[in-house]
Amino acid sequence: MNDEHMPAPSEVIEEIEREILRVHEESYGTGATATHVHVVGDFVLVVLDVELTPAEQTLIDAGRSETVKATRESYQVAIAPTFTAIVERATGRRVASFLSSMNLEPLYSAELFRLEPPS
Amino acid sequence: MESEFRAPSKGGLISSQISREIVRVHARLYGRGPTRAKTFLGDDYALCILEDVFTRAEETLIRAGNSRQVQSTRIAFQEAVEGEFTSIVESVTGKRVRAFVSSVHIEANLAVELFLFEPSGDPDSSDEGGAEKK
Repeated sequence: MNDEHMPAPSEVIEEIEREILRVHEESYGTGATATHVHVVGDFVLVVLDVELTPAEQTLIDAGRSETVKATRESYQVAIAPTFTAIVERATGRRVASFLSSMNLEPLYSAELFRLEPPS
Repeated sequence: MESEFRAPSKGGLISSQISREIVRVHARLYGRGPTRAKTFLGDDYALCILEDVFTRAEETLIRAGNSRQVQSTRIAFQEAVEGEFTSIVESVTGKRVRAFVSSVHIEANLAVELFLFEPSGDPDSSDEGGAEKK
């Protein structure tokens, strides 16, 4: 069996989960009802079941979902260096690229980190 | 001896009530209210100045240099709540609002809400100075 495809140790997953959630709460003002972290091979996938802010709920109720999505995605770009640093510290590997997206129905965000080969 | 107590003017009471109600609705619909609000009331307008308005998410975007997204979201939010804000001002002043203009200033961390009234034809209406709610 190839070690490259083994799941990461639970400490790595727990650290990413804890730190991503902490940064999200501090920098966005809301948390997540659940966080799912998968580290397999060269990829780290973080799925956050995020909570809407009252402003976002007001906008969605007014039919302005696209504004909520745009703001969330702008936030994810803004916070990318911080999220990347969390993953690099936890895994001990450099992040080669970061993709982020938000889905409103059902509500969650997905952050995908591609790691550079181990040095 | 003349009393130093001065009852608030009618305009002052109306201004305070507008400030209070706008802050309350802002807090309910946006998640946090401004920490300071001041309303100036004239014959044909009410001007609310709300200070310290940005949420943590907005502060993060501003720090990252994406003020444009904050402005865009605020415009959408103000369009969504225009009816509620206008109703407050009409209810408190007894005047009809013909236009609502809203904007935020990023560096100053403030929002202004301007309500223009339809002409009332009331010769007794006066242009009193604003009252402040803190």
